[in-house]
Amino acid sequence: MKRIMIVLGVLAALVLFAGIAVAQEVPKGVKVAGSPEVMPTQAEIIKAIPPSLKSLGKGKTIRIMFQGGGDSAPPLELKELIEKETGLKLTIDVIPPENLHEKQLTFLLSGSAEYDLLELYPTWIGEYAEADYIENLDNLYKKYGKEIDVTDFIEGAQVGFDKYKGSWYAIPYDGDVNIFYYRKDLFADAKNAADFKAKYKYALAAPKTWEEVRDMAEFFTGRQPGLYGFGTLALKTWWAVDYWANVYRNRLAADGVKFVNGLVNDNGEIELNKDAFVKANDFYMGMMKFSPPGILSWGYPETKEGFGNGVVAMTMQWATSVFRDPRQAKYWDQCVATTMPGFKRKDGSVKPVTSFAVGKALVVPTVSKNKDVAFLYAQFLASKTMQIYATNSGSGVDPNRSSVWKDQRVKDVWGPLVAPTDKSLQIGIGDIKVPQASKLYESLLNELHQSWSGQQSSAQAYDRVLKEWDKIMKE
Amino acid sequence: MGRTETAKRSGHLRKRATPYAYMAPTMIWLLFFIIYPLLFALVMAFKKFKLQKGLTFWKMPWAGVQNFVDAFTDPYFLLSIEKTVIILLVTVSIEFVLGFFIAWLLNKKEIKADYVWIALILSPMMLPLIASGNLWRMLLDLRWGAVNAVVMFLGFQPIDFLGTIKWSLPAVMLVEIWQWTPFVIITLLAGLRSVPDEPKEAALVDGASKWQTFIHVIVPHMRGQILIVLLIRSMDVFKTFDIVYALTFGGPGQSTTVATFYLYRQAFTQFKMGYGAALSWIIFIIIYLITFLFLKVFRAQESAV
Repeated sequence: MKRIMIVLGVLAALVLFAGIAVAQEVPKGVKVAGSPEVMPTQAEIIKAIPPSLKSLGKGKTIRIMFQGGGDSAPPLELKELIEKETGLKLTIDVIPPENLHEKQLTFLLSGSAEYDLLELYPTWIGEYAEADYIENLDNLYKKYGKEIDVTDFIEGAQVGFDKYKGSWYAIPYDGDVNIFYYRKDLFADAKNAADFKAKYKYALAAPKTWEEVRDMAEFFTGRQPGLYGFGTLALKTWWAVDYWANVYRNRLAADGVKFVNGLVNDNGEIELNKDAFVKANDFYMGMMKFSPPGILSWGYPETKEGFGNGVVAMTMQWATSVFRDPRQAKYWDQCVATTMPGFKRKDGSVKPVTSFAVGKALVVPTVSKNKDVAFLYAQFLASKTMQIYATNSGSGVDPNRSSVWKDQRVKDVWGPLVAPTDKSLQIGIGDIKVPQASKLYESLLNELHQSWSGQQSSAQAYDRVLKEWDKIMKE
Repeated sequence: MGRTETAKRSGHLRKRATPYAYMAPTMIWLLFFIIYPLLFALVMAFKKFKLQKGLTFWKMPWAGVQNFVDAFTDPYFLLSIEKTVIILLVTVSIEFVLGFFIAWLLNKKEIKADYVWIALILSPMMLPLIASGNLWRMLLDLRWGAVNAVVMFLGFQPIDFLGTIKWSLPAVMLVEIWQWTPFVIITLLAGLRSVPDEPKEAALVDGASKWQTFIHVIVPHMRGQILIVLLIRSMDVFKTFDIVYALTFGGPGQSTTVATFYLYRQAFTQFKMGYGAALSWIIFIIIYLITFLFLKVFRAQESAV
């Protein structure tokens, strides 16, 4: 027994040392998420509490449902401080992402007044709002207007994340948007630049169009051992649809098709366009030729590892400072980004659009007995100070206030990713928000994945999606 | 006289009520935890599920048999049943043959400290299914996976187990087999050890070969264990969910979307609860038919013996 314990002890020590050896150190002078110098002070946090929350919150209890992982970290970390400063009691439940929708619907269906605040993906807003499960917040925004700087919320993100049919239904929380990442060192390399120009007759620079991305992906694939041109999340989850939509919506825009959402708008009108769908999907599948094998099983961890550690030269991904963190990305100092590429329009211009992907918002259930307090607490979380706290603590909760992107501490952590993220938050297009959104996404994902895995053509995928969507919308 | 009569009657009543009192806890448990959910799901299968504040389940509109009609005309549901049946036939066959072989080896008298081997063999079963799925997701990874490290060490190209339709279903089957063959081994080992020596020795004395002894003496003695293994594993495979969830999420395409995973996506991602309930009843009936079929075949064989 003693011998076994010694062997196990040695093994554990080896694993520990291996872990320490693998972790990269942070070079001197580099500011990363979580360092004290990039975090707001306690005094700043206390100052960010809305005065009304202090007067109304005393002696009350609110219960909040957050998604697990990074999202719930800031409120949990500051729970004691907020309780002390406001006299409010917070009960925070943390639910795994995959069960969040199911848990919320179960609660909403039950009609109990159990929760006062829910964190959700904006694509569920229409479903909840139409069923009268969540509060229209227009009046609360008006009532507490003096304590909330709404003008600072980036306009595009407001529409994408928090509004439904022109009304406020949510309080901003996580401002994720898709941006296009590329490896600066590969693009700056003189030999790469010369060889690329010789082959494609234009300069190797940050891609502005998807055709350029295709050329560059082809060029970099195999340029170095194990290097592929392009790779992004294509695992069979609905996020994969958001990434695909970056190509599809830009195709729509370039073809001069008028659209609001490109898939289904808030009024429930299907905006799918067969020509753009087929062209975009064929193009997308063509791009996969320059992706690492196994791309259809790439989720977020694979994409993060794939780009951060140099497997792919370019990727599209939600905005994240992870790629600028030496502890998490080998090529952290070479990871730069641009706004999403577009397609050339008839007049030769390129006006790209991008997807708001995987952002989150906070909503107040209509059954809540503490609506004002819940709203004010959510506004505290959406304050400038808290957005700095959330993003710079490395929680993965990202800002959507203009002023936050101008804060030096955020610039220190995000580096060159600030400008493309800020701009993309303004031009982003939100998820489908009608009540049938989950069904529509599921159907689109099924058919797209069938085509990506070679089971059907893009045209067949379109026909099946349209047939199914017609049926869903008629229901 | 009257008092004696009353006492007699109450004694008689008590005697009659006693068995019911003993059965009551089980009956209550069955009623609330088995029959009620089943009936609830059955009613749900005929409802059109709708989200609306104040609209309780009982007030939701009836859908008639529409959910069942939709199920039988839903190509992806039918495909998911096909995938499940393929997994069932392949995995249960391999698990049975492999499990029997290993159980037979473990039953040999030459094997010393068999409990050590049995404990080791059982270890995959000790892992939660979701953990096994995640573990194998890493093991089968194209670039970092240990399985592909071995493949490449042997001089072959790495295999894209999880990203191609050619390999994704075999990958799910592999994990199923890895996780559940130990169950087959342990059950059949118990069966092998319960076979008395006398009939085996008698058969050998009568001139039967080892194979004939195995087929005509040992296997019939183990009919009960074989039935348990085939029945439980078939039911389990039809309910495969966690491994698919962690390993492939049903993809690529629909290649690993098994029946329960499809049901989950319909009921809990799209919240089509009425449709989900109809699918669950169809799956329940299929499992019931499989069970019925197994029992009938084994009962027929028993009568023949």
